[in-house]
Amino acid sequence: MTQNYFELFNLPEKFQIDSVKLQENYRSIQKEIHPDRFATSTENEKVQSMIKSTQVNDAYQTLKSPTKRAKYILSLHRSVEKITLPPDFLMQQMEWEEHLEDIEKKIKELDQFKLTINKKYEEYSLMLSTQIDNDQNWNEAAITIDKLYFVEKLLHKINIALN
Amino acid sequence: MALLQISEPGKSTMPHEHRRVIGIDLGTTNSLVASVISGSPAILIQDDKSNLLPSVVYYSKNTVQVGNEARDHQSNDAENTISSVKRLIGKTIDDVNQVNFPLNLSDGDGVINIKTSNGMKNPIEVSAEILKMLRTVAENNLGGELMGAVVTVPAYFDDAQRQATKDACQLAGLNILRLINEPTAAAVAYGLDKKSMGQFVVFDLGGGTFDVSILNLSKGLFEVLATHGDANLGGDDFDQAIVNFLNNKYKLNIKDIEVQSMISILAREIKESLSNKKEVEILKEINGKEIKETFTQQQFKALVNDLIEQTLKATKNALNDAKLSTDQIDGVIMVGGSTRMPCIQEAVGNLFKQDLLNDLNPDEVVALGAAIQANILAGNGQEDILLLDVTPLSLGIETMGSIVERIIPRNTTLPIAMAQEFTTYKDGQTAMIIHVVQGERDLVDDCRSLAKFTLKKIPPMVAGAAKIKVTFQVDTDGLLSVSAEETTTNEKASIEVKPSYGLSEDNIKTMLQSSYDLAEEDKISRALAETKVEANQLIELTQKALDADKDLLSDSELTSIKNDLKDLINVLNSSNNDKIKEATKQLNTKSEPFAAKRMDRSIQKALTGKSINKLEF
Amino acid sequence: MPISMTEKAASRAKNYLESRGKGMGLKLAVKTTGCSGMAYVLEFVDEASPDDQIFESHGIKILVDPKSLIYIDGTELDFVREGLNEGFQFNNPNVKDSCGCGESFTV
Repeated sequence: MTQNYFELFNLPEKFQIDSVKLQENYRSIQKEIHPDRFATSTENEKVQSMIKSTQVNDAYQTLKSPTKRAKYILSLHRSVEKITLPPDFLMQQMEWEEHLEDIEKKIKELDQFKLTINKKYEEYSLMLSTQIDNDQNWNEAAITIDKLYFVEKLLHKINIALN
Repeated sequence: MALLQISEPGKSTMPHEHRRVIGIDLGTTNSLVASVISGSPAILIQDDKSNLLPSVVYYSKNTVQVGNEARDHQSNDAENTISSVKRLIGKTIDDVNQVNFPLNLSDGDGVINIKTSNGMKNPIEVSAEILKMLRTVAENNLGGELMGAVVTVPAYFDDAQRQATKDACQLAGLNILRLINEPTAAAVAYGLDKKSMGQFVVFDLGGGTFDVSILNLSKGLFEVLATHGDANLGGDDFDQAIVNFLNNKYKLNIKDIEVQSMISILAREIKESLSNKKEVEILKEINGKEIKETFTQQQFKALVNDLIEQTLKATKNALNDAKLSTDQIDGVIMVGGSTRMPCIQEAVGNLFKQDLLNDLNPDEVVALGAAIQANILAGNGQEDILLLDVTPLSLGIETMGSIVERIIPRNTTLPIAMAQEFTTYKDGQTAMIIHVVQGERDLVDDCRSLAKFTLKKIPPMVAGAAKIKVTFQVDTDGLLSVSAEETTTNEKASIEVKPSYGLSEDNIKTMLQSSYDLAEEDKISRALAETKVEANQLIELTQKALDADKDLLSDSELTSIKNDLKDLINVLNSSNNDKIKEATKQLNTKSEPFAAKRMDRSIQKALTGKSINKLEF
Repeated sequence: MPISMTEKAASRAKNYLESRGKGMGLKLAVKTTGCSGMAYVLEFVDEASPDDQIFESHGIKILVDPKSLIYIDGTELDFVREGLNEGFQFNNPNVKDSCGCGESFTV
């Protein structure tokens, strides 16, 4: 499928996305082309529905996740090169990791920490939408994506600790 | 005289072409078969009117017995009475704790061998005996040959267990329409019955496996958001907790297979009585020792507390993966006979702080859901439903230092294909071993090894210059295939494998042949009949496709497809199997791009249909 | 002659309609095909066609199109059991000959 993922789901190519419409359109498409719709069909149609359904799933996963979506937009505009995070963020990363280790068994502190990191997550998301949708500053955006990605992972770890 | 069932409007079939399909719940303890009859899903009954078939197979020198008859031998001939075979399927001898099985198990080159009076049997063959019995039950109930079956597996089954189950179905002569996950099947039965919408948890504790799935139900769409579980945790382990307690207290000789089997039976009875009684008294003599005990529910709960905690932890992990909290859940569906235990009901109820949904029989709901899905796949159904399921475990490959590099993360919606690039680490390296593993741990040794293969003929280059693209594809049955290719040169070194587990395609063919001793003539006429059915179906569907979408084709493309279509129609009456096959293949190949274009048009239609609907608001 | 159902067939049909959750009755029809001429059609009905003829038997509506009626006039629908297999059966007075399986017939 040479089609752009945003075109596939009939959405504008923006980081700020209408996630309800994305989900609705994803579901409508799968309802038409999923392999279960072709269980008694010809070999050709089975194969084609498998290929298309796979591509649609891949596109949906990409657009659904903020970090993947941002990376995808960047890949349409900028060649992929390694970026390095600023030293102060690396320090911040280590501090957060250590903090999580310290409070691993303390529910109250974990809840507090989750709030802090959630705020960071929103902050970076907002930053990305400015950098991508308004400024088209791909280089800055690339750094923010990595930050957002780290914060996303950290949130997941906090949630696991909370269980 | 064939009897008729009521079809959905416009879905009547031609005589002798009934699309009889079934759903099978191949359980650790019991198995069931169901079908949609005159629009209603129903469990099919056996000759003795029972609907649960104990998943027990008994082998004597000349006979094989399945079900209740087989179970009767458990106490007098334990070695030849195989129960809970689901806990062995798709595994190697190193994966199982032999103490838990009163059987003679050994390594059989990738599969487990079970020594019986009827020779060596593997879990696939044993499962196939159960499936054959269910197939017969279904054929007797439905009055004829089956078109296909949907068979359920625990959501947390890995690739090897799924493949082995599929092999068993093939061996039993069943045409598999789909493997679907047990909790998803249960959700289908519930969702359709109650017309439910929202976020649901399916808590499925069976005899030997535990699954928990989080689903979003909306307008006929069953979307699995996350699944978690333990393919080695079930009611059997709750029995085992009692067994261990009795062994410790009364110093019974567990090495003896007969003794082991007697205690297991006693333990199960205690557990089952405690599901509807506050306490149970036992007085029994085993191995010359008198066992006198009063069990209360409290006492039992203390023995199995760790097991309960494991199920709750998995549930919380699934919620976490689905990014939901307990208060966002609209309903909790309880499935599997083991959820009858009051201690489980209480623990799950407390976690979600709501009443649990258990008004459909927890033993039957999975088979009923599978039957509904089979009916829809066969095109008999009225319901417009679609299941979107996920892969339960992450898939990856081994990289330097025995570290796993994940390619497909767990809880990814199926079907999916994902690729990752790797490179060579030595100058002039011309081959690369690709070791496919499944699991959540970082070290290869902690994951399940699925396959190991070598990509050869990589053009020699300096280290790091080759680009090896490894692609994982998981289909809607949850089954993996892997391909690898070197992408920097035109000389394509590529390989494609499906992991196989001890049993190769040839193995299965041989086993199949020995189980169907058809006369040569029968084989030929059967093959011709199958080819003709396939050709007829292709003709019909191609004509339909042309009627609907021939504007997608250029004049020359259209002419070419029409010519092939004519050719196929012409050879159809020839009774020449090879010629019909060839013409079928020819038409299939020619219409491949057409099928792709039609699929793209479906996507367009899905979205434009949407915007038209929107306008009506 | 009317089209009718046995009491047993009607009570089964009622159950099936109820658990299906919708449908105004059953459609009885024939289509030309099969090993000896014609085959029966038995379907749920959600919407009647304008020219369908409607019969009622034991509280169940039976819809028949005029073309089919010629071949199944006077038919009684029964519900029977053969071993574990149970289902509906057309007792059609017009049938002269049917194929071994009874799924298709000639008049």
